[in-house]
Amino acid sequence: MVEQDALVGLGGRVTERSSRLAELYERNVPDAVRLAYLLTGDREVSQDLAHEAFIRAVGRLAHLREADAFGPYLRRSVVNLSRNHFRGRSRERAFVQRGVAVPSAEPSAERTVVDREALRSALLALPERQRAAIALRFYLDLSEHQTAEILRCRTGTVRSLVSRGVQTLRTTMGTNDA
Amino acid sequence: MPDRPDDSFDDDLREGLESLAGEAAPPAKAPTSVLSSARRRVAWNSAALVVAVVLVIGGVVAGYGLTGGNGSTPAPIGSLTGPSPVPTSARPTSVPPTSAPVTSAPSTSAPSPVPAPSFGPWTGPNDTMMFIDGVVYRFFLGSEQPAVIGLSPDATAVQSPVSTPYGVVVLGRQAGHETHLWLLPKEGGPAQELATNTDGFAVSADGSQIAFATLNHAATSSTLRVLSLSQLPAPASATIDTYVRVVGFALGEVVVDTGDGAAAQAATWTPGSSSISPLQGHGRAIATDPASGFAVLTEGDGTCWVIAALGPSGNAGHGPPKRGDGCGIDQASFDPSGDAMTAIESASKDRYGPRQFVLSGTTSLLGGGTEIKGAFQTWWARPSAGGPGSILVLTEAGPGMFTVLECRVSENLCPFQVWMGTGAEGEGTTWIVEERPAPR
Repeated sequence: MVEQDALVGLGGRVTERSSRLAELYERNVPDAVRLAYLLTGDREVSQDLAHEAFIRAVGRLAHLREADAFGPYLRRSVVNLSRNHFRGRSRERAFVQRGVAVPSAEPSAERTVVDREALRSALLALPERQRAAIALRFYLDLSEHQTAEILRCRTGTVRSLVSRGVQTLRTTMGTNDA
Repeated sequence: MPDRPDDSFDDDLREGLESLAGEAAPPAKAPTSVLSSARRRVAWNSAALVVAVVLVIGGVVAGYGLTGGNGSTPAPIGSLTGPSPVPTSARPTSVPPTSAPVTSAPSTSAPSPVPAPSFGPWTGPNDTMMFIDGVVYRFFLGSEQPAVIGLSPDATAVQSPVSTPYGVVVLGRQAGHETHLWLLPKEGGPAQELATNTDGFAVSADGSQIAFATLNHAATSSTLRVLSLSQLPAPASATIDTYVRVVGFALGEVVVDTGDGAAAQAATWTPGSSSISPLQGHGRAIATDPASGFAVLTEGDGTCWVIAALGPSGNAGHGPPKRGDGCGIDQASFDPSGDAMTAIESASKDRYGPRQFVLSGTTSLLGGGTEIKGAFQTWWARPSAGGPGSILVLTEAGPGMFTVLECRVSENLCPFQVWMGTGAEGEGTTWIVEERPAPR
């Protein structure tokens, strides 16, 4: 088990520990950065959040009973840190934008792939838990159960968050025909 | 995957997210600074674990010594009769009715017997205080056992108590008796009586001053007072030839409600002056933000409300008031930054019926609302690290059945029930304790 190896390695000599940490980073952090980017929409912030989450998760790693819990713990940290960041920076903007959100123009029949810019703004206008649920389910392809564990809610809540999030994305992006 | 979301839009969404995530461009190699921090974190946690083990072993050894090695409990140190803080571990989940506390006021009696309150675990912001049946508790995240930090001689309070650096101020009331304004000292000891026969009080932004108006027995005149809780010389008083109830501080002014037999009138008093200044066009003052000077006032004699910025002179002419979306406002509280306020509106007098929880920016377009059954108090809670605060809403949805909901601006919802408890039913038995200075 790879994470188990890393766990053992962290207790070794300094050079060995550094090597294990680097390996752990390369295996987990890129995905964490991408997840944070989907949640915050900011490249620099997403790296900072993922790095902070990595450092926290590493600090916890030695105490995690199951080394496989590193990935979920890292993802949960990313979601929580992103939530804190977003609330601190733009709580009012998000609230007001949602209040005045206007569906875009009539859907285009040719459009088969979601437009990236439209997706970016529509995603960032979602309530944070809906955004997190969408990213975890559709980007990381986690199951409802795994998503519920990270969001610390019931699977029924995940279904609700995803359903409402997708419906809002459809409306906002003008793809109601899907 | 059986529960994988799936239709054509979902596939597009997956591709879109994949494409969007590709913009993140994560570094392929770990930056040296990140690895250094991670190494330090590992080393720190390892050391902390060792310290914790040593402390636990030391504690067991010390405990063995204190009990004499035979498991007997050591004699208690000090008396438990006063309202000094009780260790968390000593509090039962079901709290017995308040017994008669020691007070410095000869005229008070013990609170009426009330059903023993029982609490569920607290999952809201840490260190939130609540007044329940005359007892002030401090709740800790994840704990069912709050610490007792003060005992009020009166089991019900006219308005939400306020915690200050010098203690908790409670305006207590017992049926058939005049009201008493109490200070439950921070360091423990008996409750100190600050005043009697007053209908409201306010605490300054820094928690050092308290304002209230005492009524003569015919309630035809009032004496407005400002006292210093910090013992610094700041007292001031004025006798006003009408009924006055203090509502709040606003930039050094004291906002009051008056009534002289005609329509109610909101007004301000500048401590040191001998008169009050009417806030023309506003019948009642609902709440103020002492730090920013914003006040929630009703329009005329009606129940519809506005948010007005009171100037240093106390006049509501510091920019046009922002008109609220609704009417029937009962209670309001401000974001510690003064950027927003939340309020409870009620269409009927049914205490357990549906109420409207509303949120409004003081000057911005921020706004929203939702219906909450039995809601009667809002309070902006201590923020979690790095984020804005959340809003706590206290409800009594049925007789004696209290809940606290946590609402978040960013979600425009109140989905989180962070506490529930039972106690004596009715107005004044349960409050979230406000804090001055407000938690930031």
